[in-house]
Amino acid sequence: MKREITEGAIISNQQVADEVFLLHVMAPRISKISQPGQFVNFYFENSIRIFPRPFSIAGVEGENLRILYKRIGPQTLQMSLGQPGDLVRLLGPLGNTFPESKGTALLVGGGLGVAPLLFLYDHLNRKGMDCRLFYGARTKTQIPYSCLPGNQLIIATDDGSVGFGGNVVDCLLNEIEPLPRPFTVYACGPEKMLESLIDLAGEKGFPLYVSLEKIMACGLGLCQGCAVRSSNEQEQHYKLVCKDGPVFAANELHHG
Amino acid sequence: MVDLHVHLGKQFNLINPVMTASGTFGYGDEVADLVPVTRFGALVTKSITLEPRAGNPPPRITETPYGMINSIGLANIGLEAFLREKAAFLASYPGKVIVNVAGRSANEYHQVVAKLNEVDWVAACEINVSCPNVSEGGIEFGKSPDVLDKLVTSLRKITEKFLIIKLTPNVTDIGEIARVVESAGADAITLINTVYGAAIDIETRRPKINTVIGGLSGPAIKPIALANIIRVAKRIQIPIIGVGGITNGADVIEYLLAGASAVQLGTVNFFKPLIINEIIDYLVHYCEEHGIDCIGQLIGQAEI
Repeated sequence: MKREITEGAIISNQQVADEVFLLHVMAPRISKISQPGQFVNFYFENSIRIFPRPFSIAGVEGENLRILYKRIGPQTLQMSLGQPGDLVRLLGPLGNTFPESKGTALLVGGGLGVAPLLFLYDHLNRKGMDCRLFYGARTKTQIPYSCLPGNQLIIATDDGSVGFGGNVVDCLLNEIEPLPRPFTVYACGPEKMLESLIDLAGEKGFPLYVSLEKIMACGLGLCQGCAVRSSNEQEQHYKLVCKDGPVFAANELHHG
Repeated sequence: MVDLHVHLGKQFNLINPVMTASGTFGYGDEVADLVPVTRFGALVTKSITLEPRAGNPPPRITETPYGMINSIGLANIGLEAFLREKAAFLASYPGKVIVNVAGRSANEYHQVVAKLNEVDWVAACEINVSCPNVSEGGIEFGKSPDVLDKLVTSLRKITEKFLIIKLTPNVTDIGEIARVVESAGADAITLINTVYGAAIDIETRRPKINTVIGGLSGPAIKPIALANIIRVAKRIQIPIIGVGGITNGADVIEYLLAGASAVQLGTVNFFKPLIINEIIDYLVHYCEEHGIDCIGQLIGQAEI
């Protein structure tokens, strides 16, 4: 059982919010071994843009991978036009996985950063573990409701159009004050959101794992392009998001 | 049956003319589970330096039309760890293992090359005097014919390995530089390393890579590489290993016709990891279609 490059057939590809799509692609062998936190590369033929595009695995349903993506450029535009039966070329699963949680798992997703957390939520839920998902969006129309869990969901919007009015980190802060320890926080989202969470974790002293996104040329550790500074510069100055990550404990990363 | 072997001289024979390009295939072992690495005629490692190097601060890469700019800064585990950790994999590699060597000073090149001379699984050293992304050494060695003459002459004295010099296109007269390298005793020349490139984010007004100027690679530079090969092929007798923007088998044929005796696949490894299969099949097919028994017959056969 190992990562592989394969052609996967699109099963469905539906718009689920403003510019946000949910893709189901059949890739039995990749689906079978994928774990929450991992990602897949999508390849695009004959494109002026040469890099494959990495996407977090948002879940596995039998033989199918779930990919939640936003239409933001030519590659994702091309993806959004994919019809059931069309083949896509993909490589996976890549990267590491979210470690086990101590106590309640608090999942904090900003925008499309929610994708890997949906897989983690499913996984923890199936194991009967206590978990809650905090989801932050700019506004109501950007929320992919059909992909989000039906319970243990706390929504925050920047404009207050639904749920908590404000950012998702402030929303989390409200909730954790009364929460009994231990709990573990898992987060993925915009850099600023992750930075303020790392600050918060340092201040309140709770374990935090973040999933990072960086531009990658290969996803395999070959190009060394996706380097992030490590907190232990003696041991390893930079870590690679594709291979050492994408999931890092907050204290593994250089901060500030 | 088409013969894909090429002979670069001095018993340096390859099962086929397709190698990996330094810095785009790690040490070979990282992707051995995924890519049929034994189908390459030779593996060229990422640059090895005497001491480990962490590499440049991010951002290190950016995508550009039909290419990319990188400024990795020769991140590598250093000579000692390389020989300790990678020997098992590389010693069992059936094709040739070419170790790319970089240094801050002539002395550093000497030390690494001298050590590699004692390692039996190392078939060749490829000397990187063309990295545009480090402040000391690298490209500064490759731009001056005098400095290069001294370096190659001294390296020739300390190694019996096949000695390849990888040159930069970022010079005024590549033909003259290649001629100097040949007369200093090199066995082959690799052309080209990356081309100076830059990109700026128009919203933040910041350069898209940390060192501002980096090295452009990918399909965008193929015509530049071919022009350099054609120029150099007229000036030297030793073999040329062509590299820059190859993405398919037809590109390989084009390089051979231009005068390259072998080629390297670089950036394409990032976006078509299994490309070697397609290329080898294409080379056989092309030769069959054109009545070529031995692929070496194509080298330098463009009507130029």
